[in-house]
Amino acid sequence: MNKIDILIISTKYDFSTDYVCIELHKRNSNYLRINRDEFDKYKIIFDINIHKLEININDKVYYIDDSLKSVYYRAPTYFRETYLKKFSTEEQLHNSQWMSFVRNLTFFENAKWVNNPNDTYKAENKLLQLRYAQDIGLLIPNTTVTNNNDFTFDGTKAIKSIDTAIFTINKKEAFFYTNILESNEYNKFDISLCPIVIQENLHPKIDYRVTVVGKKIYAVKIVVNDQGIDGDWRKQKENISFVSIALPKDIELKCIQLLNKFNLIFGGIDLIYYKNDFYFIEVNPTGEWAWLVDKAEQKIDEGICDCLA
Amino acid sequence: MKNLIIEKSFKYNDSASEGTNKNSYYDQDLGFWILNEDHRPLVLSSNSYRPQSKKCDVETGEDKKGE
Repeated sequence: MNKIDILIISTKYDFSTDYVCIELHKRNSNYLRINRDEFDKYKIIFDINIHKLEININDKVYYIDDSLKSVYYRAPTYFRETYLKKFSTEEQLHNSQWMSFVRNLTFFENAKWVNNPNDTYKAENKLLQLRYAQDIGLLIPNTTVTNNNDFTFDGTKAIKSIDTAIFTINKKEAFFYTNILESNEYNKFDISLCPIVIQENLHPKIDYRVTVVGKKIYAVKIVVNDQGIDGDWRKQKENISFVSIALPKDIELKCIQLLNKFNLIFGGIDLIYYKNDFYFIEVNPTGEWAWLVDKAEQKIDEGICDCLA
Repeated sequence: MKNLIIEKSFKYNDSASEGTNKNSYYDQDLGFWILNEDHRPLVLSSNSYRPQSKKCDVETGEDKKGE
């Protein structure tokens, strides 16, 4: 039986996890990647009394016990799959019970979790993020959350969903990016269905992505032709550059403090640079980072492996 | 009146599908995808399946929400 020091919880098609496993392989680490979309291929026996989990994969048996050193958790804490399709009874049961099993791996609480899903669950609350960011001295945009059609504003605001809004419209996937709306246009719509976030429009701005891994900071500014991007930069597909930069030390420190406040080891923080100040927008506890390995030559995979070591 | 979130959402032309790549295979022992051609890790190659944009141009949120 193979004893595992580092457990990776991911999905088979998560290529970001590939980077981590390649680096762990290079370091001769004793790791195992389990994929949530392949659980039906695994056979597990978890002896709760002696704290030992056996996983049989293709007739190879691995085991985990209290000596487990660390866990890289690339999995959601919220399920939003219902928009995709109707699940069969078996699929519903499979998904709910295996997901609970994965969450229950926090049984191995002495291991270092990057991140612990219990902490991620709390940190996914965007409004709490704003409060904590403000508490530690980061600037935040003026923000109102409302579903009241009587609420109006002057000028232009950034309109956001309170949580990721992904759904289907006539069988096509739809995603709500940040929308910059003038009051005239905003007033044409109904917002009573669910709360939305109405935020000060910081313009002109430059977006920054700050990936924090333990005490390491990987920051990029996101520009087109060295200029900031109006609105949601994720809609920009052409000529976009991710330029590695060093943040002011006090901003770096506050980013790390914010992660500490949520007990996170990893987080992708979105900042906006506006009128010579940095504003906190949000932190993504399971945020994407792999595209920055190529596009900005940031060795975030190595940083994650340093934390797991 | 129409709902703001629904009306102002971005509609993708095709449903997002999992990236299957016929030129590579997943190695369970190593925990990463390997190219058939030269047995190098897929993400270290110039293969288009490696992450080149934040969400391979289909935004689903950052916690694997849309998987």
